[in-house]
Amino acid sequence: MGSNIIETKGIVFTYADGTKALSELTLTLPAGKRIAVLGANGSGKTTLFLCLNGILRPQKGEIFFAGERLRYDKKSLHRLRSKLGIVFQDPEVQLFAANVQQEVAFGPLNLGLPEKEVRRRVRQALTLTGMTGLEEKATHMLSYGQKKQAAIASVLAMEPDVLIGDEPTAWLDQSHAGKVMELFHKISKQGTTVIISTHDTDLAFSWAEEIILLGNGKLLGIGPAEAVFLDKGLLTAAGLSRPLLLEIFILLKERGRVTNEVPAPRTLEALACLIKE
Amino acid sequence: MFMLDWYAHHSKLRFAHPAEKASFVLLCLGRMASGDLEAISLAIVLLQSIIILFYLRIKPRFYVKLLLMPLAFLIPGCLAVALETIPAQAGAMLIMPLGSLTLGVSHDSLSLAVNILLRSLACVSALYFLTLTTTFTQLGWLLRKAKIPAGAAELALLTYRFIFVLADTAHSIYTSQSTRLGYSSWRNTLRSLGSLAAGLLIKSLDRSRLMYAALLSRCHEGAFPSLEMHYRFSLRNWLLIGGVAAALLALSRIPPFF
Ligand SMILES: Nc1ncnc2c1ncn2[C@@H]1O[C@H](COP(=O)(O)OP(=O)(O)OP(=O)(O)O)[C@@H](O)[C@H]1O
Ligand SMILES: [Mg+2]
Repeated sequence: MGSNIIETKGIVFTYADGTKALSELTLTLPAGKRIAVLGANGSGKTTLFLCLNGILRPQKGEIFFAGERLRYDKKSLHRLRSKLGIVFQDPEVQLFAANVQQEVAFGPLNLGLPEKEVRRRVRQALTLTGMTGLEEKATHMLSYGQKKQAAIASVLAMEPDVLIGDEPTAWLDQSHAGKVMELFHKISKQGTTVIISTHDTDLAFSWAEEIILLGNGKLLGIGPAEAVFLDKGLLTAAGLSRPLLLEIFILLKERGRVTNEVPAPRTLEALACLIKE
Repeated sequence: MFMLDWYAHHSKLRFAHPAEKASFVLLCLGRMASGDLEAISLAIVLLQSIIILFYLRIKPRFYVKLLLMPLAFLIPGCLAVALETIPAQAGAMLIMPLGSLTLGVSHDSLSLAVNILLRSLACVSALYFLTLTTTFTQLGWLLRKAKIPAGAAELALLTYRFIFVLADTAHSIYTSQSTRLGYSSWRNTLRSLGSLAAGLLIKSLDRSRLMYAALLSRCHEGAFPSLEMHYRFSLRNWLLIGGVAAALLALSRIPPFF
C-alpha cells in the first residue's frame, strides 16, 4: 500500500460557540505508516480525529478515506467507522459496559460478526493489551492504566485498517506508556495505519515515521519525522520544543563528534553507538 | 451500593450459574407467597442470614446495616398495623385510651404485624443474597433471558455504569473543593455544595456527549448488543436448592405461631 489512506482538503470546523478549531486544513496521510499528530493543547488534534471518524462534520472542505469521499448517511458512516477506530483521550468516556469482556465485545458485535469470531477477537485484543485474567472485572474497578488498556482493546477488537490513539500515553506512568507505544508499534507492523496525537516531541520522534504539526487549527508542517524536527522555526511556531535526542545529536554534529552522513538516531542506544564510533 | 457491588464481584458464588442463584431466591419468595406461615418466613430469614454471614462471609456489622435500612421503614409500618382502634370492651392484649378513641393491640392485629415483618425480612434477606452474589453483568443476562424488553435491560445497564461515573465525578469535585477549604465553614459548605451540584450537571452533560461520540465511533446504531455468556450448572447447587425446597415444604406441617 503506497497510497494515501486519508486525505483532507481545506476542512474548516467551527464549534457552536464560535471557536474555530480547524481552519483550511489540507493533509495527506500515507497508508501503513506510524503517524504522529503533534500540537500544543487546543491546537485541534481531537477535533481533527472526530472529523475523520465522521462524528463531527466540517462546515467546509472534504475528507477522503481510501480514495472515497466521506458521506454522512448511516451506511457509509458504519463502513467508515468499522475501518477507522479511535481510542479516546479519556478512557472514562469510552467504557460503558459492566465488565471488560462485554466492553471489548461491543464493537465486534456491532459489526454483526458471529459469536465465535467475536470471542476470538476479544481474546486476541485482551492478550495483546495484557488484560487476560481481567475479563470479568467490572470496568469501574480497573486502575486508570487498565482502563486505558481496556479502551485500546475495545477498538483493537474491531480490527480497523486505521487505528487512532488520541494522546494514548497521557496520564500513564513511564512503564505503561512504554507498553502502549510498543503495542502500537506491533499493530503497525501488522499493516495497520496507526495515528497518535501527542504534544510530547520526544515520544513522537522515537516512534513516528511521519509527523503532522498542528498549531491553532492550521497545518504548520508535514513530512518525515527528521525533516520536521530539524526545522526549529516550525516547532517554535507550534509551541513545542525539539526532541532532546535530536538536540544532543545536533550538538555533537556541530562539535564534529559524529560524521555528517549518518541519519539522526531515534533511540538513546542508537545515539550511544554513534558516540562510541 | 458500592460495597454491595464490591461483594458481588468478590463473592464465592460469583461464578455460579445466575439461574441457580435466581432459582434459589425465587424458591424462597415463591414459598412465602404460597403459604402464609410465620415459620416459613422465619426459616428463610435464618437460612439466608446463615448463608450470608457464614458462607459468603459478609461482615456482621455490614449485614446488620443492610437489614436496618428496610427495617427503618418496616418497624413503624408494622407498629401502625398492630395498633388499631377497637371498642373498649373487646378482648385486646393492650389498651391505650386516646381521647374518645381507644387504641389497642388485638390478637389479630399483632399476628398480622408479625407476619408482615417476617415476610418482608425474608424477602429482603433473599434479595440481599442475590445482590451479594450476582454481578451486574449476570443480572443483565438474567433480565435478557427473562425476556425483559431489550431497552429496559440496556437502560438498567447504562444507569449502573453512570452511577459510578457520577460518583467518581462528584468525589473528585468534592476533593478538589475540600483541598481549597471549600468545606471549612457552614457558609463555605453551602456554597461548595451548590457549585458541586452545578459542576456535576455540566460535567455529566459533557461526559455523556463524549461518551455518545465514543459509542458512535464503535459503530453504535441504537442497540447495545452483548456477548452471550455461558455459565455452567452445578449438580451440587441444584441438590442444595432441592433440599431447601423440600425442607420449606415440610415446614407447612408446623402450626402457626398465633
Ligand atoms: N465542545 C466544544 N465546544 C467548543 N469549543 C471546543 C469544544 N471542544 C473543543 N473546543 C475548542 O476547540 C479547540 C481545539 O480543541 P481540541 O480538543 O481539538 O484540541 P486538542 O489539540 O485535542 O487539545 P488537547 O491537547 O488539549 O487535547 C480548542 O480551542 C478548544 O477550546
Ligand atoms: Mg485532545
